[in-house]
Amino acid sequence: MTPFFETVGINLTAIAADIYCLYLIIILAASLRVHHRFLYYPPTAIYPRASRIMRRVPVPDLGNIGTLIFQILLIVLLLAAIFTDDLLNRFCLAGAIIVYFGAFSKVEGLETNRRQTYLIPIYLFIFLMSPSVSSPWNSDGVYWPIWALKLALCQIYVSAAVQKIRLNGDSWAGQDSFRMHLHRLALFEKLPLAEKLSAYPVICRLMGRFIIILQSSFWLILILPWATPIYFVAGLIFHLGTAIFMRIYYLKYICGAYAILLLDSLYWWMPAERLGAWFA
Amino acid sequence: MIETIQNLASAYYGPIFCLGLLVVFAWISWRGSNGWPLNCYPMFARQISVEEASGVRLALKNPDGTISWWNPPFHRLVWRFNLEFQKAGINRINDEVEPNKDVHSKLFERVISGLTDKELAETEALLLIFRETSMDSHGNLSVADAILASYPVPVFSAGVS
Repeated sequence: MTPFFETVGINLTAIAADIYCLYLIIILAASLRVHHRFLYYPPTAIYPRASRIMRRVPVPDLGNIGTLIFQILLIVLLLAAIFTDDLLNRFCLAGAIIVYFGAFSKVEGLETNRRQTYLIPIYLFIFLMSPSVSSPWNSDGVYWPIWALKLALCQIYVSAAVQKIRLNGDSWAGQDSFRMHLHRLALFEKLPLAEKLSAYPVICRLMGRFIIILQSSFWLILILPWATPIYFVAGLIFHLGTAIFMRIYYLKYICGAYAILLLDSLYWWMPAERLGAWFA
Repeated sequence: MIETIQNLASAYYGPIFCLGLLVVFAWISWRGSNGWPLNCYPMFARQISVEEASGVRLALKNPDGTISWWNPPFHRLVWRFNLEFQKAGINRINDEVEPNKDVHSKLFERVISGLTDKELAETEALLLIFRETSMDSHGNLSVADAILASYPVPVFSAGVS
């Protein structure tokens, strides 16, 4: 068996699932106050009242209180998913996927949530479908769910690059696109750094090139495991940059996925026995 | 027989699941689907021209004549209001679109309902300001602001929802 199918002495999927659920619990608990404020701030009523799954399936309007209750329920289910085994564990994961849609339907307009939480149900679904998710950390496991998680993360970057290339050919990075987007953002927000940066076209073009190279090559982590740490660092730099200059806080929710990238990097770079001993 | 099928299913389950996921993601990315939660992530993908780097922003006018931008606690809400105002038509020079005054009033009231008591006490009117970008021959960007409309803030407006 190759490492793609089996991990001996360490159950990476179960560790990844527990790390991801724990991270989500912390972030969701920390976001409750912001979500409460968003729901009760009158101007936010211009956002749609409830979202539709894949633009087709309507999510029932749970009201403000209902939304907050669903968010607490999501925290409880994720917590239960960490501490339960076997069928109950899968029941909690399946429940968390369903509850996610109710918990985020009315706060999807919040800019720290829009598109940034989309990975949550996908990751939970992959964990749910994984054969070894409910086994102990130090038992043998399968590797392919980690590959599937990396695939879901890759889709964000590769798809973003595909859209840029599809709409503009190869001119997105070479032209002033990134600079104009920065400038336009600064027209509507208090973004002094974006405003300053947009005054330097050469730096903006270099940053534009870095973005397109990073996004269009992110899939390499799927076939070159040794490249994972490189993309882990490059991705963090990219997200830190967008947070500092553009106030786009993808890191808030995507950090859980990056923690799994870190775990995967450790798996490929460290002897399995040593890593296994850490989580024994 | 059943055992053989079970063994085969067990052996191929992972690769088939991964392949299925790959096909779905490739399809979503290629089609440019903007759904929830399967999305093609088209943020900042479209090139924008200098003319497109413009829009309306709201400002608060104080009784002493000073003007400050409306900065709500949630970022991108200002951008959302810009889109809503533009959807309802804005009245710039050479702009043939007549603004929908009713929708504009509703949007102004929506903003007022979010102002704090202190802001309400200090604000005389809401201003709709058009921000237009231009680029000189050296590639430097500059912004020109023009007031499009003024909406008086009622004295007893707290509690409007």
